[in-house]
Parts: sequence; C-alpha cells; structure tokens
Amino acid sequence: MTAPTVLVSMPFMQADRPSIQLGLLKAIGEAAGFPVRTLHANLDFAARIGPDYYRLLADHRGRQVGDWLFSVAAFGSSAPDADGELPEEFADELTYLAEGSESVRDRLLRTREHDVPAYLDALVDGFDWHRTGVVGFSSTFQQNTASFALARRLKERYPDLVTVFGGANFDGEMGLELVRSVDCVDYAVIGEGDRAFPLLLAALAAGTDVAGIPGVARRDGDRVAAATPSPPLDRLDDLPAPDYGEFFERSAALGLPTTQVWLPFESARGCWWGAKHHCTFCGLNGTTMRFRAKSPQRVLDELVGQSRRYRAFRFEAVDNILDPAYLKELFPALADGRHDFQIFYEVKANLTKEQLKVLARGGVTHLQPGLESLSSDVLRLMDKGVRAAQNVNLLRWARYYGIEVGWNILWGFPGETEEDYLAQAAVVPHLAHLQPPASAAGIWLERFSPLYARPDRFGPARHAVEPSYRHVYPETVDLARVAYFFDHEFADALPPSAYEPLAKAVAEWSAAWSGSRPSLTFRSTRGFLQIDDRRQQGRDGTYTFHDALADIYLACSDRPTTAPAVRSALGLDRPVADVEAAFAQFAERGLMFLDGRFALSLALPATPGR
Amino acid sequence: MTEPFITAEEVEELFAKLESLELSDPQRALLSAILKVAGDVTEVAEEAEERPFSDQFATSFTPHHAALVVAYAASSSLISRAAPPCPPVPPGSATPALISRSTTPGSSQP
Repeated sequence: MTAPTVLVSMPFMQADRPSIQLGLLKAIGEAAGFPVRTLHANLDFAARIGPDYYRLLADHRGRQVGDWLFSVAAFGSSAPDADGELPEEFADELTYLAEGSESVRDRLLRTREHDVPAYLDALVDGFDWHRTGVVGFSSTFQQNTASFALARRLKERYPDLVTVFGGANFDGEMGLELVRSVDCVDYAVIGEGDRAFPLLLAALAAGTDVAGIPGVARRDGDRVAAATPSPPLDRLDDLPAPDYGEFFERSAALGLPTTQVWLPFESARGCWWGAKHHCTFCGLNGTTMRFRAKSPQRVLDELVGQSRRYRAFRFEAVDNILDPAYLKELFPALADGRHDFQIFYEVKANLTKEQLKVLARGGVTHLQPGLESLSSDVLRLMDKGVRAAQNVNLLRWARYYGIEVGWNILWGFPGETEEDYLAQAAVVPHLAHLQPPASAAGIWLERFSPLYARPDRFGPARHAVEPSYRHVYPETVDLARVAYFFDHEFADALPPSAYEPLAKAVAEWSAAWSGSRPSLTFRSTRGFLQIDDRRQQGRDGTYTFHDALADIYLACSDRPTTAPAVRSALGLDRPVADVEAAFAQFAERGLMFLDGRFALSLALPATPGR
Repeated sequence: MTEPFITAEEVEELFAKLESLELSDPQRALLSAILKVAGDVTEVAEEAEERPFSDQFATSFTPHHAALVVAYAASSSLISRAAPPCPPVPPGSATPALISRSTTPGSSQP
C-alpha cells in the first residue's frame, strides 16, 4: 500500500479557517486513489503563542516579520539576521505588535528563540511521520520559511521522506529560484496543482521519472529542471469539494474556537477584468489570469453539501472576482431556496443597486470590491474600469442592503496629482454615513503587476527588493527572483505631504463610524422630499425640497446620472444648465457626489427593502 | 386641431436664430408680420410657477428638525404591531372614536 501523503499548512496562514489548498488537494489525491492527510500545523502555533498575537502576525504583510521568525530555524547558520536587527530597523512600523511592558523586539526574539523551536520539535515528535512517504507544503505570502524549517527537520530525521512545495509563492520564477537555492525542497509544482499533484504522487509511488509532469520542477545538479505547466484548468465543475475534516478535528483538539469559521469555497479562478485590463497595482493571478468559473448549479450544490457536512452557514469565496452570471442564476436560486447562508465575495465595484439587492437576498453579507479610490482620475491611472461615483454608489447600496464592505484607499500612482487627493479629502466628510476604508496608504509594488512588469508604460522607477527580505533569506538565495514585494519610487512621485489631508479625513471618518453610525436618509412623495442629515454631530438637520428639485434629487439616487439625462427623464422645461446648477447646490451641501458630468445623490431611502 | 404650443425659452431661441439671418428690410418686415400673426395663435407657456431653485436651496435646511423625522422612522417599524392612532372624536359625541371603530354595522352609535 502506498505510504500516506501529508499536506501541511504552516504559519502564517490564518488560523480561523481551513486551507482550501489542503482541502482541495486532499480530495483530488484521494479521488486518484492515494491516501492523503492534511495537517493544519498553523493551528498549533496559534494555540502556542495565542490566537490574538498570531492573528497580528498573520494579517500583516508589509514587512516579512513572519518569515523572519522562522528564518533561523529554516536556514540555521546561513540565516542572515541571527542578531535580530529586523525589529529595530522597522521599529516604527511594528508598534502594532507591542504588548504590556515588553518591547516589540524582545517579544519577537522570545517568539523566535523559544516558541518557534519548541513548536517545530513538537510537530516533528507529535505526528507519525515515519509512515509518511510524501510531505506537501502549500505556501502563500509568509509561509515559506516556516515550511522550510519543518521540511529541514523532517529530512534530517527521515532522510527518505520526499518534500513537495507549491502555492502562490512558487509561481513563476519565484518557485524555480526556491527549488534551486533551498535544499530541503525536493520538488515544486509551478502554477495550478490540480492535475500535476496526482500525477506526481503516481510517479513517486511507482518510482518513475517525474520529468515529464507538467509544472513540476526539481534540482538537477546545479540547474533546475522544470516541465512547462499545463494550461490552467478549464472545467472547474470537475473538481471535488474540499475536505476540511481534519481542520475541525485539530482545532477542537487544540481548544481553538470553530463556531465562527468561514468555510472557504472556490467558484472561479482568474480575473475576467484583469484578462482585459490588468489593474496596474495587482500582482494576483501571476500566471493564471484567464477567468474560469463553476456552473451556478455546481456552486449551489457545493455550498449545501459543505454546510451539511461541516455544520456551517458561513462561506468565504476565495475567488478574485465574482462571475456576473451568478447574479442571474446562483443568487436568485439561493434566495428562492431560503438558504440561510452568510457569504463573502470579492467583486468588481461597478455593481448596480439591483445587483446588490440580488446579492443581499442571496445571502451575501460581506463584500470586498476592488474599490481603491474616490477619484476617477486616479482610478483611470489604475485601469480599474470604474468611476468614483460608481464606487460611492456601491458603498451606498451596500449599506442600505446591510452588506459589510472591505476596501482601501490607495495612492502612489504614476501621473496622479496633488489635486486628486485634495478633492478626495474634501468629499470624505460627505460620505460619513457610508462604510469607511479599512486603511488609506501607498501601494505596494507587487511582482506580476503592470507597475512592476511594464516600465515601458509607467516610466522608469527605482525599485528594489523590499528590504526586510534580506533579514530572512541567506545570500545564496537570489532575492530579486524570490521576492513578491518591492520598494519603489516613480519619477513623478508626489511628496508624502500630498496625502496627509486625505489620511486625516479618513481617520476622522473611521472614528465617526466606530461610534453610533452617522446616517443620511430621505423620505419622499410626489413633489416633496425631506432629507434627514445625521452625519456630523451638532449639525443635524432636515433638508426640504419640492417639485423639480425633489425630482432631480430622486432621479440621481439609483445610479450616477448626467444633467441631460435627468432633464430628459423628468421632461423638465428648464435648461440643462439649471439642472447642473441644482447639482452644484446639492453638492455644496454634501447631499450629492459630483464626478465629472455625473451626479449621485448621497442620501439613502429611510424605508427599508426597496 | 391642437393649439400650437411653445415655451418662452424656445421663442427666445428662435428670435436669436432669426437675428442671424441676412435679410433685406422688406424681408425682415414681412417676417415680423408673419411672426406677429403666428404668435397670436400660439400659446406661449408661462414660466413655471415653481419657486426658483436658489430660493429653495436658501431655505431648505432646518436644524434640529431632523430628530422628528428620525423619531417617525424609528416608530414606523412598530406600526404593524400597534393599533393606529384614534381618529378625532365626532362632533357632538362623548364617546371616544376608538369605540366607534369597534362597533358593528347596524349599531345605534353614530
């Protein structure tokens, strides 16, 4: 009988949900006849250092703190920062890790020197590795060095054990360089692993050559031999549902809470927008941008099946963008079937009021739209394919339909102007009744993004590997080929002061939202409109409008609209200039958002369910 | 036959266009006469009786009044569970209107 394969997820994958990579590959491997176990070893580390501390380390991706914590364990004497310089070099950015009277540096060093070795020892001693043939590691963001550290220890104790690596960190040349330079990596799967993984297991079990397996890379002397990856998988309906059983068993054994888990599910891969207009800052979907989706019926069946299997109602789509077809088939079916799911999705921000209503009725409670600016000029520089008014409209109707929105304001794009940010800062107080961004900050330069890959288009930029990488990897690793994040400066970059007014306005927005939430609602009947404004404490009041003005305001409520369109829709005798003047007056009072020729009323109906 | 209809704004626009025509004095005199006759049989819409936008905006805001609207909004969710408010007591009756609503047809009550 074939020795079992163990798939491992190491820190710093989030500990509050199972790994879809492990769950899916386990199901694929077993469907192909191979015994596969999953080990969510990240849970053990979360239990050891505490879930809150773990979450802080897992959430943060700006500096490679998580990888630094496991660097010495992974590379031994070759590790570059035995003295612990990283916490001092980036002290200003790491204050979020402070606890009690202990300094951040002391806390991190204690974790690195005590918790990490004890954790790895317990993992090696506490699992029946001697009966394991292959250990597979899935690595995304800061999972590399923890995976290398465990692989290294396992190979020291069990020299015959075969290691296989994969995941986003092994996409493209990053994977090839890691295979070349990290000796505990026997094989890596470059790109999607659905087809390569069972083929690799079969070859290893039979003792045959793996050289011809698409996407599999290995060291061959001083070079890396890799077969070209297969084209991305088209028929996602053929994939099995992920198997998360061992995640729940291990969480329960470690005393970690599982009642609030959001079950990951995959309904699509790639990005249909990115395939046409790649957002300039986005490095996701490195070599697999082409969009593919499961059929709506297949998704519905999978959600129902997984809900019953794991007694869960919360689902997190790992898709990068929603398939528009689901708006017509999947979500109406979810609503009609009275499934009480809570669902998270990433979406493009051009959703209409009616589409958001469909999503809400279908159980979507959390959205992450690609919403990164309140300036159409900046959005154009990003190639986002939406206007600022559409972004604001999404925030409006998401609030109305009770959908939480996760979004960020980004800055630092070649070609932007100071005015772009002053204008955004000026409009923010008018949006106080809408969900604020989680943050407002400069972009990270990511590998695979157009900003990184297209200097011909975006002008010469100084860019270098994000500096904390050199505290993680030995000199033998070519950081330029391994890094995902890069420091950068574009030729026409604005000074940091250009962003300060917007940063301040966003901070005030967030503070106001954290208390009793501000509101801006309207009630209307024919020719009569009252807007209740409770956005600014101490400046509450009611606006009253009649006849044409009331009609103009209501005509711009569902979607951004132009003055000629309003005049035509309402059959107004007044000239377009009068409508435009009304737009300006509404905007002056913070009741409308103006975006070039488009106007959008900001108040929401006081009556729910429209 | 429907009476011709034109707005004052459109009349102004027409005159502006005619002004730009290169006409001799007799031609212009004839055109004026034609327009005069045509104007007598055409209804020119009066300016809308709406208040000017600027006036409405100037007086649109009422501080503090918002509390009443919100109170109304908050209470609206209770309507389905609570009895509607009583109508006024009918003149000359000492009986609360609530009772009159609960009586059956044919009652001796007014």
